[in-house]
Amino acid sequence: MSSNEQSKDNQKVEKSGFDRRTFLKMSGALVAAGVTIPALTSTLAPAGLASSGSKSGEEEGVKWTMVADVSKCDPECTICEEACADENNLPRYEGKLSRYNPYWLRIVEAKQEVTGVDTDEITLPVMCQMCDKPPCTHVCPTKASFIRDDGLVMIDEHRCIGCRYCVIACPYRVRYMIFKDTPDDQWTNHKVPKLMRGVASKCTFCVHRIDDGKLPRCVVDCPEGALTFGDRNDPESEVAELLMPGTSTVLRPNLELGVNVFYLNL
Amino acid sequence: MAKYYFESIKGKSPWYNFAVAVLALLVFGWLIATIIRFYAGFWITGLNHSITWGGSEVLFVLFVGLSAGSLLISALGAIFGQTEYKILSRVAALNSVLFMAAALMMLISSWGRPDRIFLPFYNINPRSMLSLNAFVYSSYITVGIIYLWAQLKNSEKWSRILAITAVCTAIFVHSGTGFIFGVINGRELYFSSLTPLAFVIAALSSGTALAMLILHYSFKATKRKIDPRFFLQLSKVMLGLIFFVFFIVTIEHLIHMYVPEHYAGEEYVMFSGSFFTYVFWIQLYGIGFILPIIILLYPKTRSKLGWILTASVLHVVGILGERILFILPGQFRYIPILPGYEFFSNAYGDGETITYFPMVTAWIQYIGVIAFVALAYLLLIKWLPLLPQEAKLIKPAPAPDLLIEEGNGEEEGGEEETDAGAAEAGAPA
Repeated sequence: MSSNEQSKDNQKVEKSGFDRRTFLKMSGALVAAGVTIPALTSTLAPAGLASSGSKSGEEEGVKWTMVADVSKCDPECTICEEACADENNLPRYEGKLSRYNPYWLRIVEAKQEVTGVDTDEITLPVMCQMCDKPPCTHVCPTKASFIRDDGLVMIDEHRCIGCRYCVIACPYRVRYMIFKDTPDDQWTNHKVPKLMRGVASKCTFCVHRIDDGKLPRCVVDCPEGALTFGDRNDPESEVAELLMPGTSTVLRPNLELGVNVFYLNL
Repeated sequence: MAKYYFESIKGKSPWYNFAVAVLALLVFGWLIATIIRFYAGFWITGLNHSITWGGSEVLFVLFVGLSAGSLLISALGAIFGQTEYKILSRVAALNSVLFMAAALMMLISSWGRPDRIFLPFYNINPRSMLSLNAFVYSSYITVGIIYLWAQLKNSEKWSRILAITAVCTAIFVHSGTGFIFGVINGRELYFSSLTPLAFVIAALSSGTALAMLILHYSFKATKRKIDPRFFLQLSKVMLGLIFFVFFIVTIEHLIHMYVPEHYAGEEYVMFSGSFFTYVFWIQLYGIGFILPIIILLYPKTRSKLGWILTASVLHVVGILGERILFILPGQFRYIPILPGYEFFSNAYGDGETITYFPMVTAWIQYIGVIAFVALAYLLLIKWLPLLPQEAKLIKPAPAPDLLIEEGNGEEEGGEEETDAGAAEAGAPA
């Protein structure tokens, strides 16, 4: 987040509580003590999401978490995939080119391998797991892949050189190359930058919506309520309650990447 | 002390001009293909969401490897006072620069945004080997050029200093390239701490093989004389290195096979009957290791020049197979993102083995980069005194029974001459 945006954020929050003079003093102090800005951002950024999380956020920062209840996921339904494509202007090509469609969120069908038992099919949504120790970011040669102050793993598509190292390094295969420039008629949501050809892209947890205080689009659109999103550092949040019983699981836990997408009833 | 007189080639024959013209055309093709690739996007090369590193990366690692061997041999010779390898040192320095340049051409033209070529230099990510390699590769080329220049100036002192620098940089370059792939812990077929070592040794062995081919055909085409015992010595070095690569590659696969978690991946490469099974057993083990080892050990063939050159070609082809196995199978095999579960195929290719074949644009790029090496070599040996007039070994022969029978061997070598040697060989002065 640039310092401009930060000061805008400050403005929004501070104006409500202080008069103009205090605000000016405050911003002067902020400029002088540039070191404190990162610390402040982490507390101000989630202020948009109207939740009681801001207090615990001040102490530990937010921990954006997605919880997917696999038992609620309908095998026939692809609404989250479509909602994701719609929200993030993901191109949908027809025919032969359809193999180049990026899926920031994809629905995976799987079946547990238990010898002698014909297990049921399950479906689960797989999106960027927002690791705390993301291999993609570790290998990026230009720091185009970076971790935002609130822990979200992001891509600066203007800095990406298209070397595809991150796509290979991602243990969940959730990074997608953009094979072609997005056609103008498919660029519907102007809050998300138009996808550029030749760079890596991936799920952002709908970062533009989080910053506006909204939930990610897949969470909102899921008709079964299988997806839950929130700050798990806030003990009263829905995600914290869902994770409380300690029965959730993550994908490839042996890699110990500190992922922030949890699956229930898997 | 052996002393060699270096002289540039005349380069006036119609064959030479014809070769230069054809190669220049192919390099131009590379440029056009790269521009098309840049504007059209990745899909034009045959890559897909699952196979994002394709033939370009295979050739990139092959070229990085080939740039090494001859340089290390000749520079090590310079450092330890083995003067007989000085004959090789100018061509070796040239090769290292040319092949590294070709490798970078291949890599950068395979990027999605080659227009951002300078970004890695000022956005350094110290955790990323690729980021550090931007500096390692560029310093390697710089050191190679200065090393060549010092030799052209006949500066003994600087040649020696730069030889040491070049060797150190080369070690960084090759282990660093191996590092890029070895650290990918999310894919079992990549993740290995032996990769950097295997890469260095394979680079040495294939580079030595290529150096022999280039030297032989350069001398043959310009009708200069070279002492065949020189190849005999190098072939022994190469044999040792081939054994070493053989050993490392084998133990790496054996250790992976021992881990139940990784066994499925190894099985896919070694026993599944896929494309990689053939590459592994026929190209890498058969052509790359077993045949050259037999040729270089069997008393009737090991001392014949033609057979030595054959073994060199076979080994380079085999190492191409090693590089293919290095880059591709790790991507062809799907990632078990949920261990213990069987995946059903979907639009994105979970649960299935993906196919990939480079499209025409990609092939034009590959051929163009190979042509670039040949073209630059042909032009530079004409413009600069890089090849010795006559290469003699001053040292006494190792043993009388190892003397080369000239004549019959060379014809066999000529038939085998393929991709690596062909470009340089096809141009008599």
